[in-house]
Amino acid sequence: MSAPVLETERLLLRGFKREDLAALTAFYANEDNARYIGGTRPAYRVYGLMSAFVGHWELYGLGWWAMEEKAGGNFVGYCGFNNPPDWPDREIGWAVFPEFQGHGYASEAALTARAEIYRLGGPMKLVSYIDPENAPSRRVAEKLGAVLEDTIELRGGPAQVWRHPEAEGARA
Amino acid sequence: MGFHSANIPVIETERLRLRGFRMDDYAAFCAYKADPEVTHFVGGTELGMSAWRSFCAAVGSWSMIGHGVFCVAIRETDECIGHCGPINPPGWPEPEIGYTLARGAHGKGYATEAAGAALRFAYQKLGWRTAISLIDENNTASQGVARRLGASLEKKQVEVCDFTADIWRHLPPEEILKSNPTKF
Repeated sequence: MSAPVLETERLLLRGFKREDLAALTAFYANEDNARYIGGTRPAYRVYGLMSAFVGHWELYGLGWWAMEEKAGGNFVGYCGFNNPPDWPDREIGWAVFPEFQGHGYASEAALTARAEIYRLGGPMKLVSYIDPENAPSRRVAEKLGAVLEDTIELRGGPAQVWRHPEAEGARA
Repeated sequence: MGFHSANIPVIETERLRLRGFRMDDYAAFCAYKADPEVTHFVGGTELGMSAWRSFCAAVGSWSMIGHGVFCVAIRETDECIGHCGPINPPGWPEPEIGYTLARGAHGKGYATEAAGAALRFAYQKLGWRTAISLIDENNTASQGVARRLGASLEKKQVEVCDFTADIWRHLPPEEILKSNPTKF
């Protein structure tokens, strides 16, 4: 399957298109942007990442959305479901490009994405792994009602485990 | 021409099946991605998140841009033994036929069989006019595969993004498609 299109007050959550590659590549080329999400990577690896965001849906029935501003159509970031089979829990993650930060887009998008993940995937333990130094992302987790549960080693560094509230009325 | 990943094309050769990856291939994929002997010349081992992302990408690129990596499976058992396919990521000098097989599948001519089918597919179905393979200068096994497909070493030590490789040039479509047509 491909990503279902979702709407929030100000955003469209949609699947990735090849036209998104330039913006995502620019984002990942910058050290400050990529510090908390696996580090900088060259264009061909960003292309791989974007392909993976799409392929996740096809292999698993859940995956990642691109966030698009309804007004103006800007591609402003992404959010979605991540399930590396060897990770302890399934994750909801998000990133907003710097020029679009500070508007509450991450929490707005992740709230709707989380509901859809529960709707499609049924009840599950859902967490967000957040670098302890990534204060903006931690605030998003708080806004979403997640609770700091633990700090673990992940991808060679510390990661806070933020546990999300369980779905209300999620189908089994 | 476009494909949806839901129907990544299936190509059958004498002994192999090239098809889209499925979740039940993941264990086999992880095993050869974690094998230093297999991955030494193709970017190194990939574990955990990195392997998962590569696996998802192999499927997702088909729906995003219409080509990508096939799972290479033994035709009789459908067992995954590696991957292979037409790729052309940003920063690449030219469209490439890539191939990687698990250690247990080496030495049987499988890579030549799979890459040959992928090359025909790229010329016949994707309309590619040229194809190369980027091969490490010390990767003699892979060079052998390229040579058996009729490719020749064109340029040594070319810098591609964050790695260096030799460019092996495959025979043009006219040469490849005139003999042994593969049915797609």
